[in-house]
Amino acid sequence: MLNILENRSPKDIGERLRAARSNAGLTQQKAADDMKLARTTLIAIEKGERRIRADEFRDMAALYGISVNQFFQSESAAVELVPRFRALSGAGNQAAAEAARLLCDLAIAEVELERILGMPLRKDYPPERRIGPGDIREQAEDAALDTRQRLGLGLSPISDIISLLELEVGIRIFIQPLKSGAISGLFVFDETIGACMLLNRNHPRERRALTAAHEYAHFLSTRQQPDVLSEPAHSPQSREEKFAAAFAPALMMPAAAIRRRFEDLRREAGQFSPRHLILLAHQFHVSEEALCRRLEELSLVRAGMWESLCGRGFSGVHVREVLGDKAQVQQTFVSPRIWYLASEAYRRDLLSEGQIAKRLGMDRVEVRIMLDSTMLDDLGAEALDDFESIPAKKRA
Amino acid sequence: MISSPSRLKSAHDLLVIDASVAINILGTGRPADLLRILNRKVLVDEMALKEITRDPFSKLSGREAMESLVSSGLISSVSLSAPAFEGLFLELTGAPPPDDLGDGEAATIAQSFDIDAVPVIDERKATRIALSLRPAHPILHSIDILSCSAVTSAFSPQELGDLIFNALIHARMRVPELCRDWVRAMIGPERARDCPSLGILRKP
Repeated sequence: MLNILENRSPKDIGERLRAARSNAGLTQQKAADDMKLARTTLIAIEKGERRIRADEFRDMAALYGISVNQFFQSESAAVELVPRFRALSGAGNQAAAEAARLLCDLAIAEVELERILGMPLRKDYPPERRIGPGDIREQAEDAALDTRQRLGLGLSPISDIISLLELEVGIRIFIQPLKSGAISGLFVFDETIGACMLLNRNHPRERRALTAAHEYAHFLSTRQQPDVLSEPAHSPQSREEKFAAAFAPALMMPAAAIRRRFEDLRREAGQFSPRHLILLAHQFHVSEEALCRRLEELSLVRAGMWESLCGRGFSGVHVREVLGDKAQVQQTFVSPRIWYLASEAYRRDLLSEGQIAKRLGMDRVEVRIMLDSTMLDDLGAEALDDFESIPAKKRA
Repeated sequence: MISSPSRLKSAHDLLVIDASVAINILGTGRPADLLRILNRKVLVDEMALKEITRDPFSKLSGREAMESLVSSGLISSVSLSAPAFEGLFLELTGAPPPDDLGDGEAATIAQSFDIDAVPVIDERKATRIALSLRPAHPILHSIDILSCSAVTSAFSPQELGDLIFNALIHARMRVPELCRDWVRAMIGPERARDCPSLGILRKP
């Protein structure tokens, strides 16, 4: 029987191998040297001019760190997202390169899940909004208000920006622990795959929300340009970066709503205290630091207030004393959409536990925890019957 | 007393465990004791080995935990022969969905069939595909190991209940429906309620 290397066209396999090598960050010369092949042989294989042998393929899969199963199954295996990050300044370090590769793998995995389930992502992208001349901060405030209007949010706090951007806009969002705590998130756009974000799961939920808003600003203003948001001392230099840095707090904490609530609290208590800061940050689903800096920006408190508070001993302990330990609800394995797609693929026996773990870059036990929810479907038929019978009973 | 559901026979002296099973063995908290008592040649393919990233019991590196078992001689790491890679492995990984398998699962099955060993896999899709290829070839699950006579006679019921409970809690071990009553009896009804992977018990 012919194996798949003999069944597939050499051109198709060559294109996939070239993309895998490129995503692994290897030049043709380096890859050829490592596999003890002539560079011309590697080129011929990648061009589809020479059929690859099984032993060569085995070596290449190991060198490029690819899953053989995903290599064959993925319709998007030839998409090269990783190289787009290489042109970014500051993105050349190892941590950023690894994060970019992870985002690429996850985006392709989600597209594949959609393909095998026949559930394409519904996209409702706003038109790109180029940054014009003039005050960047004002443009960011306007864009944030327009975004809120488009999403029907008014001035309400955004409790779950991840679901909002996934469901209402159609952005692919992944939440994974990144080795470098300095990286908050990444963004990349591809005409075929769409807009994709990766958020650092090791960061608190509130920080991830601001990162998501920041990356959305890049999507809104310069979507063809990928972004890596990293600390420390992230000082925006370009106009695009300044725009994103101003957009995120403006979206999460709209000026009019913050001013109104600030005034209400000050009027009621006679002063605005650190206690009020905790309360307001909690209500807007942001960190105390982000809220304080927004108050400084809106000239509601004096500049430098956050540093001053920290210097006087304000810390997360105070927050936990007042509102409990938010860390308890911060652990999120995956975004709601990935959870739904993966569970559905498992329930239909389309993907195994190992395939899901590999595609989503998850620990096996985490996958099992996620898939345990499919057991709720054991109750499905009855639960649905009960639910559907409610209107009938009422009518009766 | 519910009888042991184990299908592990004395003739099954060469086992190839998948990552899905190795994780449960680690999850018991006493993998070395368990493998010593099992007293069989246990292999794991290098591709399945790579998939064990974390020891679910200690929460430390899965690779190091497995290396410790390998260096103790309790497990052997193996790699596919060239014909097994070129043949069944590529066939399984490259099959059209939904009949394809991930690398570790495919390597476990290809390795088992290549050397005539018994694959131990806790994965329904992999089990389905392996059975479709060789209906007469035995395929076992983690629970076959945990409920075999060698294990049940070596551990006290309390000890064994703890090992199984650990695997259920820390590794979310999968248990086939037919074996769930035995597992519930071993760990007790109160602890069984804390184990989502035992399935939802419908209210009467």
